[in-house]
Amino acid sequence: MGTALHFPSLLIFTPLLTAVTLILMVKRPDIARIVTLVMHGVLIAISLALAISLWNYDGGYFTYQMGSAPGPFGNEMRAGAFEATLAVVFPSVMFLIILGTKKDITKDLRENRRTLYHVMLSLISASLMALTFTNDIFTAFVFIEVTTIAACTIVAIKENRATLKATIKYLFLSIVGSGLFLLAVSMLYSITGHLEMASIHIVISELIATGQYEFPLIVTLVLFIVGLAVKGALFPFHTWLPDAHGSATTPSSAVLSALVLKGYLMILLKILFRMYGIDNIFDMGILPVLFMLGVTGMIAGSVMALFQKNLKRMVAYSSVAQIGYIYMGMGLAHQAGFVASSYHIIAHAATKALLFVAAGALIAAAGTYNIDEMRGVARKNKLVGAAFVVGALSMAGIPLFAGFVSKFYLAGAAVQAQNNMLLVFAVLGISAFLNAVYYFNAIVKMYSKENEGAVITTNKLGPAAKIAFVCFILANIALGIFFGPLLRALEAGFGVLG
Amino acid sequence: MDFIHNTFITNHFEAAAMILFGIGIVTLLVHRNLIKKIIGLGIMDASIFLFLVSQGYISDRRATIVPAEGPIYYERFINPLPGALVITGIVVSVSLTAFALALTLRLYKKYGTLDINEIYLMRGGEE
Repeated sequence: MGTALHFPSLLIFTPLLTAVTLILMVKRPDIARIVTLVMHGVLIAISLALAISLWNYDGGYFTYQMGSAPGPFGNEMRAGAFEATLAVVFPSVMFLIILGTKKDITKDLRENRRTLYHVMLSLISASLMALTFTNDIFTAFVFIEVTTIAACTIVAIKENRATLKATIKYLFLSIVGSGLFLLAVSMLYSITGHLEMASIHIVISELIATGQYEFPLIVTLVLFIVGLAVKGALFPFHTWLPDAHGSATTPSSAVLSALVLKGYLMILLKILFRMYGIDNIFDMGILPVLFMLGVTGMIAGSVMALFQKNLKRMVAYSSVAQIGYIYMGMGLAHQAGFVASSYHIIAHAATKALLFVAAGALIAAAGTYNIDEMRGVARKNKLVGAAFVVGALSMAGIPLFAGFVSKFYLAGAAVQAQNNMLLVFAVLGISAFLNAVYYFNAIVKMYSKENEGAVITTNKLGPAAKIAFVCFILANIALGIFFGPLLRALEAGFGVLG
Repeated sequence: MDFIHNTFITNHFEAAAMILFGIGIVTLLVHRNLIKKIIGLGIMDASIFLFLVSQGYISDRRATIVPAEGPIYYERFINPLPGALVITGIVVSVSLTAFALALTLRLYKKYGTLDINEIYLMRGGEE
């Protein structure tokens, strides 16, 4: 592996150090933006190098010791094909979001806030990387909190009445979530005596084999899942999401929906696979609950999206539905379900970021959030309109786009798992139909003739934003066509995740 | 009797921690006043720290301060790791509290009230 061994720690420390140095540039937001972009470019390069070496690495994964104490009591990082693949996705999406939303940041944020905004984005990148690579549950807790504060900040930074209201709701629910998570960590520590995930797994397997601590282990698992579900906007806990995503400035909505939620899912996957061990999880009977919540979320999110007049809230409710897909895939209790879910994590990151960025540009052009008053906006903004259409097609599950692949493989996983097959098919069908209805309703309005007296302008995009939109569109199509290698990498990654 | 004895006498730290956690989380979720919610957050976090520290405590032993010279008797020390975790946890909790208080201040300036229900009922201003 050679130098690639050091890449995970580089991926965490580069954005952390950048975030700290960016604070010095409070008076020069433009430079801060460029530094952030360059830093994310570096992250993409490093993570690609790491991913390529891990895809071709027979051992599957490696651990990296942080500091002078070796595991199990020292702090460790662990990287395999799965982690490395997601580590490529996160900074790439972040890079494109920052590239595509300069106008929104300039419009929504006061000048002395813009640099701090980029500090927060760098912190989110750092903590996503840490959540991806850490092998230590307490480190995971610390970075979950870093994510929480940074995510709340990028909502509140617009500082009008709606965002402050949304942030306080988001913050209090997140605090409940992290409280439950920390309680679970401390209980698990008192049961197993470890914080390092692989060692916890060894102890848990012994305890389950000998039938001890059955009930406390289930309690900790439930605490973990509920804590992360509150932060990850699983259906009954989603109430904060539409407010926060709908009212925040466009790049924040995109980052929250495409990336922050995925960080929590990443750590949940590692808790299930690496800490408890997937066979133990199957025996504990907790996955059917996730399955039902996921299914309910898929339908409920889509139905609520149907009634939204505000374009951003519509896209936000669609996120609730899409998060439901991911939990449903996990709930199938089969390896294939997890692979499909993780593909959906990637597909949703690419698509929802595109949808939010496009929605933001369209809203700016139309001067209104109301879909009914946006008639004709896509005619005057051809590239943005096309981008929104691509995102909508992907979310509705049309072949050749990213969203189709994950839905197809979710259905396939249900067949392989022999688990509620008909229900999965029905729910996938209904949800895709509802997605199609509300997205196409919006698209038809955007492409129809202007209302009398409506002031629809052309949102003049800079070259950077144009490049971002083109890259987003290409990424969505590429994820929909060349999915084979990526799925194989994820499958191989799941083999060594536990 | 055995159950009560085990729960409240033998594991009195854990029992107290769980009761406090309950109080904290209910305060956080149920109270309408933002400041009281933040107090609930403090109680909740403190209860978890109590729980953690009590896991590392071994009766009749001292804090892990290793003498510079002379023999080291490990059996005289408590487990230092939970203490380290609690310190980290306190840092996290303090930053969250500070952030929540700053946000509350801003909300109060915009809405003129600390009652979360009243704030939800007011129109948000969707600009």
